[in-house]
Amino acid sequence: MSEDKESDVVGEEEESHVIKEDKELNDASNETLTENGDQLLQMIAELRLENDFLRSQFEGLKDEVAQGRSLQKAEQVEADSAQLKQLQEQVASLSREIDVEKQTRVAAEQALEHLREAYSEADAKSQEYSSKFSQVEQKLDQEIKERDEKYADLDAKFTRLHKRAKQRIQEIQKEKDDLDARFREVNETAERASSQHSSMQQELERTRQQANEALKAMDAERQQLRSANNKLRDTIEELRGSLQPKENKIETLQQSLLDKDQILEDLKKQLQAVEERKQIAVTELSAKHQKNLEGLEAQVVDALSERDKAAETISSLQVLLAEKESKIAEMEAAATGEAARLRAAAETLKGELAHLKSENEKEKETWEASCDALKSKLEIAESNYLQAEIEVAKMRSQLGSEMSMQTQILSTKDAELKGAREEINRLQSEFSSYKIRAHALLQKKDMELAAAKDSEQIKSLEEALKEAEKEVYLVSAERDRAQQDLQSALASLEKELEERAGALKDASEQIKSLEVKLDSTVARNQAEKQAWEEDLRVLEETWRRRCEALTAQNEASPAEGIEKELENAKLRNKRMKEEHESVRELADRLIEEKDREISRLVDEMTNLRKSMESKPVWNKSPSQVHHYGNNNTESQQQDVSNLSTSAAEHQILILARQQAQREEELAQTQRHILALQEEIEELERENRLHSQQEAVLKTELREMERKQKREGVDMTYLKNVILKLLETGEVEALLPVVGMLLQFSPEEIQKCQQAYHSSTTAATTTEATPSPASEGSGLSVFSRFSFS
Amino acid sequence: GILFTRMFSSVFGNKEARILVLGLDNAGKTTILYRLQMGEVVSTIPTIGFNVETVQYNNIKFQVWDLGGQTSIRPYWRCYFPNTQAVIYVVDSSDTDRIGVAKEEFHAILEEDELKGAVVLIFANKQDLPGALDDAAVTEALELHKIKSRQWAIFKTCAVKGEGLFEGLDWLSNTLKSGSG
Repeated sequence: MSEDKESDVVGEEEESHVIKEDKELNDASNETLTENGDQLLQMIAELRLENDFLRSQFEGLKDEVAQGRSLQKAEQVEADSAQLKQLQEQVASLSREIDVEKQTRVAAEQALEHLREAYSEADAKSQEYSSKFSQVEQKLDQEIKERDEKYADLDAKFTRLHKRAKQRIQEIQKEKDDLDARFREVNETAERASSQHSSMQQELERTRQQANEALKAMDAERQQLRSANNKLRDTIEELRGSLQPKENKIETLQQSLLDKDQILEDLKKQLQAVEERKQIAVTELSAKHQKNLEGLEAQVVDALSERDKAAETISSLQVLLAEKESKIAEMEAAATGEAARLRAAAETLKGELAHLKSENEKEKETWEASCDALKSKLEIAESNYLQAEIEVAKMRSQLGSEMSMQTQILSTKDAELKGAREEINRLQSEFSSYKIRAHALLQKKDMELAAAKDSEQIKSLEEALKEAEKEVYLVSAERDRAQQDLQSALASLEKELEERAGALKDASEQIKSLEVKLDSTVARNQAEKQAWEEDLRVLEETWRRRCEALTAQNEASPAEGIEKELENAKLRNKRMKEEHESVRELADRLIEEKDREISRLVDEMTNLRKSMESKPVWNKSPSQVHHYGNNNTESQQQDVSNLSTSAAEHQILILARQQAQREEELAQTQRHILALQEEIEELERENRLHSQQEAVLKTELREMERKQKREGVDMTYLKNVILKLLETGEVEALLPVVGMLLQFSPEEIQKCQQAYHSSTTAATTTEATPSPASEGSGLSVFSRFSFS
Repeated sequence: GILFTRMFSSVFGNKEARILVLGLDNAGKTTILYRLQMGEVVSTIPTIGFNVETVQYNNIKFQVWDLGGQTSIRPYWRCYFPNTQAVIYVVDSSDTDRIGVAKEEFHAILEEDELKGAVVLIFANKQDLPGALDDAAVTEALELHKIKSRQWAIFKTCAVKGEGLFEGLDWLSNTLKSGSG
């Protein structure tokens, strides 16, 4: 029994320990119960399991104890008395121990009972809690389910609404934008039109003013012209007035002239009549005269005939006379008386003849006198006529002079008139041109006015604009209304948002962890970068050292060793370039890797942000159920998202800054590389310069050498050679000699040879032609010498 | 004029040869030149420089260049070597003291690349003077037997008397004619 008790005690101890543990656990679970139902349940289950296990153990132990008791009894029977005593002692000691242990067991039992009570209490509590928890869980599940359902519904609705709202917003915004654009356009067009209108009005006004001015000017000019016209008309009228009396005068003069002409004509007629008369008279006279003459002539002829007859008779008489004379002679003596008588008769006849003659002469004289009288009369008439004519001429001349004067005056007047008319015409033409211009201007202005009348269109546009504005107002009112609705929705949303803020914290924690990760990666990056920078620095230093060494070598190297050193330097340069390029490639690769990492991190960040953004959007949806039909604006959405993404953005900002730093460092390194490249280029340039210098120095050295050699030349020899050269013109043969003597440079010799060859080829071509005249022309100086 | 004659000869197909007369100073080069050219002895002064004359002989126009032989101007000989068909080397046979110098100069000339194809005619001059070496002695002294792959001949001459000069020229003209076809 004691052992049983012992084992019991042990089991109880174990149990109490377990219970203690349980209690502790219970306490712990009590503490965490509020926090976690699941844990509690699990723990309870575990505890129960443990309890069961322990109980089973306990029972097993009891059985073992019972078995052991039966074995002990068998042993006790077989055992010795000494052993018994010993055993009894042992038993006594054991019983003592057992008493002690009993006491302790009692205490333990008490404690156990107490613990059991506590346990039962705890169990009850736990059961209660578990029931409560299960209830709560169920509730939670239900709630969650409901909520999920609600969420789903709301989400769907929200998405629909969101889409609709978005669509509507977009539409509205589009409309708004369109309207705005239209409004702006219309405004712009209106402004433009108004400005155009105003400008055109200004122009119009200006042009009107101009036109007015022009009109005024034209009016003034017109008035001036009119006045001038009037003046001219006055003058013309005056001239006409003055002309009229003159014309009258002229008319009178003309009349008088006509009269005079008539008089003249009369006179002429008279004259003609007189002439006719005269002619008649003359004819008559001449006729008479002729008749008289004829008569006279006839008489004369008669007389002549008579005379002839007389002569004949005379002759006959003479003959007779002669006969008579003879007879006379014969009869003279007889007939002297008769002769005398005859002579007397003859003389009488002669006297008669003379008388006739005188009569004839008298008649002639009378006729002549009459003729003379007639002639004098005629002369008088002629003189009269002449006088009349003179008078007429005088009159005519007078009249003519007057006429000419008048005509002159008239012509001058006409000229004046013409001038005036021309002026008038000119003025009229100018006026007409003015008119045309004015018309054109007016038409233009009209056109412009017509164009300006587009303002009506503008008005219509303005009306449209007003309508648009009204629409806009309406839309804005709608929008305002929507905004108000949205604000109310927002207020409710914000409440819910506060609730959801808790969920965000988790996300932020996640982000923080990511940040930490990022920081670590960044730190790694920086470390790597530093390492690279160090590498670069080392490289740079080596470069510098090499460069310095090179420069030192360059500087220190004498002109003789320059080439070798140059080559070495070039080789080194190449090697360095290669190294540099490889290093650069490596750096680039690393940088690219880093960039990739950064981009990956950025992607992660963006993903996170997206997830975070999606959460609030998701959270927001239930609130919008209440505001179905309300329009949401993006700004409010942004506000919502801003609240949620501010932390993420902060992180992104940090990351961006880090990236910028890194990029800066990269740029620095690249700049470094560029600087190094520049240095290399500079060195190469220096090398080139050195080589150039070397070449220059070499040429100078050769020149100096030649100069020195030139000094040792036998001048007599040179002189003689030159002399021979000039004598013979053997340039080809003597050029090397002279070149050697005077130390020509190879280039100089080549030049001379080329010149000589070109001249000789020219010479040979010219020499090939047989004409001797062309020989001298193409030859060089020396070839010419060969002829002299 | 040389140019004119050259042109003339080129028109009429005459042969033309550029010949250098070389030798130590006071060997009688100028005298030989004018003896050949004019047929008479002229009084000469040491040639510091050169003389050039054209000698028509056996239908060959020899453009004979007599170059001064003084030690100081001997280095300039080489300037005249291009386009040379023949070299007349004049030796003062009586000047036995300097025959060695003459030999050295002669062999130096023969070494020249530009005179590879040139024919060599040696005048053992001043045979009239007492103690003058004969042609065999001069041949020996100048070591002419060392000449290889080159046409050469030696003539005893006396420029003052005009002995041996035209014989040498005969040989030269024949050689040149046969040599260049």
